[in-house]
Amino acid sequence: MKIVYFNGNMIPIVDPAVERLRKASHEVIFYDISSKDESERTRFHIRHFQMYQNLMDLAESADLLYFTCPIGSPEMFLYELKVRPNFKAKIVSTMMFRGLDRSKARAQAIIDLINHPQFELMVFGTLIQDGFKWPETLEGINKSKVMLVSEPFNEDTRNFAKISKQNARAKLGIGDGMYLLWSGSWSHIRGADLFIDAMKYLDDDIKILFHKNVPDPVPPINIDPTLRPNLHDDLLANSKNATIMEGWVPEGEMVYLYKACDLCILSHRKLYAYSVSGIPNMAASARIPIVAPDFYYFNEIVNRHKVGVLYEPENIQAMVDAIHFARDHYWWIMNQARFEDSLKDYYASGSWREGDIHTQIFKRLGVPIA
Amino acid sequence: MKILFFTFFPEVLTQEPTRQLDALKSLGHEVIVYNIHKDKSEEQRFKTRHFQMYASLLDYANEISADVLYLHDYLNVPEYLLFDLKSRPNFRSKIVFTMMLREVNRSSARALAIKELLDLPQVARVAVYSMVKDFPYPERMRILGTNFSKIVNIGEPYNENPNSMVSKKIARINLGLGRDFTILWSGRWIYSKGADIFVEAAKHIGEEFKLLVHVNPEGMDLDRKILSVIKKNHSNTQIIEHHFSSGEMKYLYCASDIVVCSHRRNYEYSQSGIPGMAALAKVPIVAPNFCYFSEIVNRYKVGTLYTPESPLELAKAINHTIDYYYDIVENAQFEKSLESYCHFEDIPKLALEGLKI
Repeated sequence: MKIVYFNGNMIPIVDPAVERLRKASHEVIFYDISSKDESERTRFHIRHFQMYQNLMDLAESADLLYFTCPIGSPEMFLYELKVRPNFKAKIVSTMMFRGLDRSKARAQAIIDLINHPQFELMVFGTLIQDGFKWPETLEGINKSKVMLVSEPFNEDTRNFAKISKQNARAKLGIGDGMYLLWSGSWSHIRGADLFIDAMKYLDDDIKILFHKNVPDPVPPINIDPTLRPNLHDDLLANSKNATIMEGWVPEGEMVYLYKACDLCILSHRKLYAYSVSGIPNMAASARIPIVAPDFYYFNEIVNRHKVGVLYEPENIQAMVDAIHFARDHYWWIMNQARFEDSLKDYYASGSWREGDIHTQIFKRLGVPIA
Repeated sequence: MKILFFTFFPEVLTQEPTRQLDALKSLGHEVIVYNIHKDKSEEQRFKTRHFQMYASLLDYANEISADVLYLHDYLNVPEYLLFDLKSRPNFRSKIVFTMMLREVNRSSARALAIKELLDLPQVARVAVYSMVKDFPYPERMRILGTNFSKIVNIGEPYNENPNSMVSKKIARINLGLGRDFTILWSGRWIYSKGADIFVEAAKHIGEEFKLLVHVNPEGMDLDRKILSVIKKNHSNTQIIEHHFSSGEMKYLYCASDIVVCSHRRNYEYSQSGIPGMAALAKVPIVAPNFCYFSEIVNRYKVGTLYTPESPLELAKAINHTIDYYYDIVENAQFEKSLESYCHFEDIPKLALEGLKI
């Protein structure tokens, strides 16, 4: 079988699935955007429709076009398909549900794409497997072409049990008291600015471990120009009670952040609804509750497993109140929380690429993989 | 008419708008401005969730019962607007948007999306920026049977006041330049404008000719190291890295003898202020052989064309222009080449003129 295997991640990857497919005697053309020249990378960023054009030209004689990343613009991709009535490769893609509950148009594009005869399978990453609530806008989707897969763990969960809170705090150089963790990329969608604004109003007994996750070197894609330019100054101004860490934490080290803290705050904006996040599973693995915005999937996880407190999204006062509530009722929350249950919806065998999610996908497609 | 005026350039809302909005208001219209930059979430949607921005915009047009939704800045992703409109069969505002036909010739999918957009009853008009009158439509649009009756050509806006140009002597004094024959490259140091192609071509240009390289520091997407490469390739190079404000650009053009456009093919059917500025300064251009550059050069003899994306061909064209400089300048119809240009403040008026709702 001839397979065009597309990676749209700007960070170079080694994808074992490519070798596994080759070992199973498939001809695999690995179209890795991170290794392409400036011309193609520009198209990927700002001439997305032309990138699809190039990709489909390449896949013209293939049997399978496999996206190991979401199709960023299903509308554009759909039009590229429409003008190629003789395109014969079957198409498989992964996708997140992000934003679908807010855009009928995007939902319709996804429905149309999935219903296209050349489209074989859409793989959705989800934090909820059992009793997954479909966005209303996706009514009419051909569910037989959709495969729900769990979000993989970011860390080896066995590491959490090996490290004590005391050891974690010693490693990070922080002392006693109740620590609240904010960890994530410096982006608008994750609401870094919302939490920084909320920090001003938190009681003094709540100490903060603020982890600004910045890959090194910083690819341009990770710089969010929409955050206000003086945000870091605001962070410093509001940080009398905070320890600030900046930098990329390698795999295996994140566990210390979670183990060192007592509570974890998620400040994501509503735009994040239906999007996957590793934070709830990291917090649950470290057995600490989360304070999270009240939208899917976060609310589903908190409501089902009582692993934290919800607040009205994008409302700073509500976020502050929820943090204070979690502090005041900490042991009650801890007693209610069913951390183990909340982890069952996660996929425990490593990342998408390293684990056997690919095995599941290719098995479903009937494509042998070594 | 109640017009919802949408723009995504914050500067339009601080500098141009008064004149542009006043021009519309003077025709008796009620104009409401939709400013995405007032709301961080909305701004974010524009940048990374572009499709959601259209949803908010159309919701708002509906909410205020706008007669016309006017998208002042060129439509970037017609597919998104198309899908949003398809999901709103009862949307009642008429839509007018501006657009460049950039790359339509290279993508059937994009051309099809534009055709389908124009077929929607809610879309009343598309105002296209073009540097030439009676511009040739991209071939793919013709093949698909696009409804051209909904397209109007509003021309290309002047970047500079046509009456404010200065003499070569004054311009050179202003920039601290000497008497060398001067070849200008000006613009953002980005891939699509082919700055790297010009850097490579510089190797093949005689050292007696000065390269005046203006680098607009905004939005550079090429490695800064390339700035030192051009000096290696051509030592008689002067680099000016500066953001010139409106009214200052004329010095660059008036000080020069040739203006180089090294744009890549993905610039086809796109707007560029360079030919207009060069024509105002009466300086020939060396430009890649695709529309609109090719139309301007072929129609008005204002320069030399070369095979796009080839540094060697670009260098040859520059050297040819130098060799035949006086013939080229004598034959060039600089003033005539500006016949389809317009003033910035007139754009909304031109886009909406005669629209029957």
